Amino acid sequence: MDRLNILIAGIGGQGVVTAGKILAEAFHEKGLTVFESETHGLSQRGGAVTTHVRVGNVNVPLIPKGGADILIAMDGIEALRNASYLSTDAKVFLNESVKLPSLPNVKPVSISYVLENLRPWRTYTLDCEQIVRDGYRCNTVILGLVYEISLRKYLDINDFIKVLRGPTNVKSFMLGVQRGKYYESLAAMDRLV
Amino acid sequence: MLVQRPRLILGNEAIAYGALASGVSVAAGYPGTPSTEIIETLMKFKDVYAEWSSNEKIAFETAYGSAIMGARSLVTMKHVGMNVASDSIMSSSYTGVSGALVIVSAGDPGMWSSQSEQDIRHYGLMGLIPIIEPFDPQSAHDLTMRAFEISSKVGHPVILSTNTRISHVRSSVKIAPFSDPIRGKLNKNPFKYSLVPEVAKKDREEQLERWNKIKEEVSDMIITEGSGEKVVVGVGISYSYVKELVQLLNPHNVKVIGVTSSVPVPESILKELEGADEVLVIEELDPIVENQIKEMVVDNGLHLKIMGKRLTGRVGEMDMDRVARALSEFLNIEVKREVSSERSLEIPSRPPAMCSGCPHRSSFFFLKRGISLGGLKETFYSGDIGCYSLGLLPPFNEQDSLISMGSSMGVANGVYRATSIIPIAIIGDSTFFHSGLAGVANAVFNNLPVLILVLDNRSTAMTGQQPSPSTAIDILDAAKGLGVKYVDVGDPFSPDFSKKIAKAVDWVKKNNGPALVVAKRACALVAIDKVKPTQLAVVDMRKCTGCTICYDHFTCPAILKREDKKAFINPTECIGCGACVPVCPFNAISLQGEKPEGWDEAWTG
Repeated sequence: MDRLNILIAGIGGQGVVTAGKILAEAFHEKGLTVFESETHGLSQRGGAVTTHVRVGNVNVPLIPKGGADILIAMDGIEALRNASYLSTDAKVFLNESVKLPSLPNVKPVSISYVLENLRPWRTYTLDCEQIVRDGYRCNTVILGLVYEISLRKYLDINDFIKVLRGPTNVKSFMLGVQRGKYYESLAAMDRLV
Repeated sequence: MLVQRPRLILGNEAIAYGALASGVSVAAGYPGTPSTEIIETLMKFKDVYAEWSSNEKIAFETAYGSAIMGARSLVTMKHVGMNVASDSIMSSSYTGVSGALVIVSAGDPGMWSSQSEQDIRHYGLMGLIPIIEPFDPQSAHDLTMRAFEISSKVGHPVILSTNTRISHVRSSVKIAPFSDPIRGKLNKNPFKYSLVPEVAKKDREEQLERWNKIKEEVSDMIITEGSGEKVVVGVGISYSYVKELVQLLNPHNVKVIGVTSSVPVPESILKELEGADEVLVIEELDPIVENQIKEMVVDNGLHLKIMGKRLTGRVGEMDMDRVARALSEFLNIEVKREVSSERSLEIPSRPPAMCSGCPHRSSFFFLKRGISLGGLKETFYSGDIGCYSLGLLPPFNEQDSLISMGSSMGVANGVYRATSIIPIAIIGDSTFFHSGLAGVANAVFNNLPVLILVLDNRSTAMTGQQPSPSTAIDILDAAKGLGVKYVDVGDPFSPDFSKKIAKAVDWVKKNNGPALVVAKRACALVAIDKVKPTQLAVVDMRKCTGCTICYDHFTCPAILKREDKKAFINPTECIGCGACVPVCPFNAISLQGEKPEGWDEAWTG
């Protein structure tokens, strides 16, 4: 691997910064050079937040426009806001929901509008609301999915297990890995057809 | 030397560990993004005295007072905090110090959470104080130690200038072993440290002598790679951008120079420029290094074209695209960018919002109601710096100006003198003690008819709930002590709060002087940290009329709009504070579930 750029986007309070930290720790555990940079504004909650994670032969903390290999989006609107960071063959991991900003008279955005505009990229979706209802942590489930689909060639599963704190996180991560395996098997069937 | 495994840490932690390796014994700061985690890290070490001071000037003076006793001390602030501390900082350069004094100023190019970008390196040029600029968390760690070394060797303050992309970046850092803290002992020398004109004149001479020593001390603070007639100079974080792009583009005949002492620029750089015919300086914000190099080139009669801001621009954060554009023009090469087609999408902006349960949302809601109850037809909301700056946004629109910490009362004074319209000065509790007290004194002294509303959430909430002096000093007592005749305190969650506002407004109109009302309730994040919420607000759909008040005029993030316009409260975001209950004119919202033990105490702190 020369360079790997992962962008995580969402809303303050969704675990965007924590997910970036876990990713960075896993790569650090493996002994790879890693930069993790938090970009957020005034408040703790409710605003748009992104975390840039860069791995490998890198010197700077920010991903250039068009340079992200992976986008993890905890919200549909935030996925679109950051689409200009995506490289042409990037993969998108999306929590399939849209939370409107806490402002008066906001025009609604539908999830189908989001998916329509993400069509140029291979997009894997999850339903965080259901995942949370089932007792899992969504940001960690997504990390498991990302691991299974995109990071297996760089990291061992134990690099992650070592940095995940508490049994709920490990359980959530493993659920994401299973989802990834399921997606992979679907893709394999596609290829057979 | 003990070899330690590198740790994945924040740039700010790397700075704190650098200070610990240098024997820091006293550290003080005022919280401000992106500087805050330095003091937070030092607070974990018991043999170092670390405090949150009431403002940056006091924090600086604390560190300075320790350093003139021979201690190794550190002061931290954000870039705009330098302005508050600058009066004393300028004098410290005259007197020097006897131990070591490192001033960390964390800049915010791009203004992620600041009122201005402001290049603090001007203070270095103005006050003859060296500016050290790291380019990643590892160099932040190493250069903190270098800053302490220079400061103690020369006996002069040193500024370490960091920014968001160093302070708030995590990467692997090799940490040096800690040293025993170096403390001071009583050492009086009024003819050095008391700047009456006689002393100041002598100190000025000594300051210039020290400045010459500093020039020698920093002479090795450049890093050179490659060779060629085209030279690219990268300063601080910009050096990292240049390094990565040069690796990517692999241009031939290019020399790269990294500069880590931006004031003064090491004169040794001239030697590195021999044989060059064009130089491009890449640095964030103002042309501080660019202009110093130009001056050296002119002074030495060299023929060399120096470029910089003309190619990089001077607004906002540096990034790969900007540096790539500047390099492609300078090197006359094409830089391919892999940007996927930029399409214009219709997506709403998502500015930061006040948290669920934030008492300020209710303060703004009932303030507006109270003002109209009190019979003020129009007013000017003179705002201040803190979470409540978000009151600028719709639906509140209750911050007509906010320019710096503590500016609310001074600006209100000017607005009233020009228009005779009674203004509302809005200030937070931490800001009140940071620099609001002088404004209250002025309002009393000059008899300003103003309603001063102190939004007291018992903490410096915006930067992560650091404790505020309001937990030790009663704001009403402070105001009374300063001569404010009308003082009152209320709970912003109670609809009675608007009546308190109305009464105070009425008093201001009749008495033509300042009145002060405190809206007192703890920061919601502090409250739910203390007590786990167990109750939830629920909408009774039979009573909800879809009037829009709760989601369009109150805008708690937990309240969502259903397709039929009725309100729905998201149970995963609601903290059960009950602030929305009195907001509904149809009594459709109620709290359900048991009130947890200690809940009311957690909110009053």
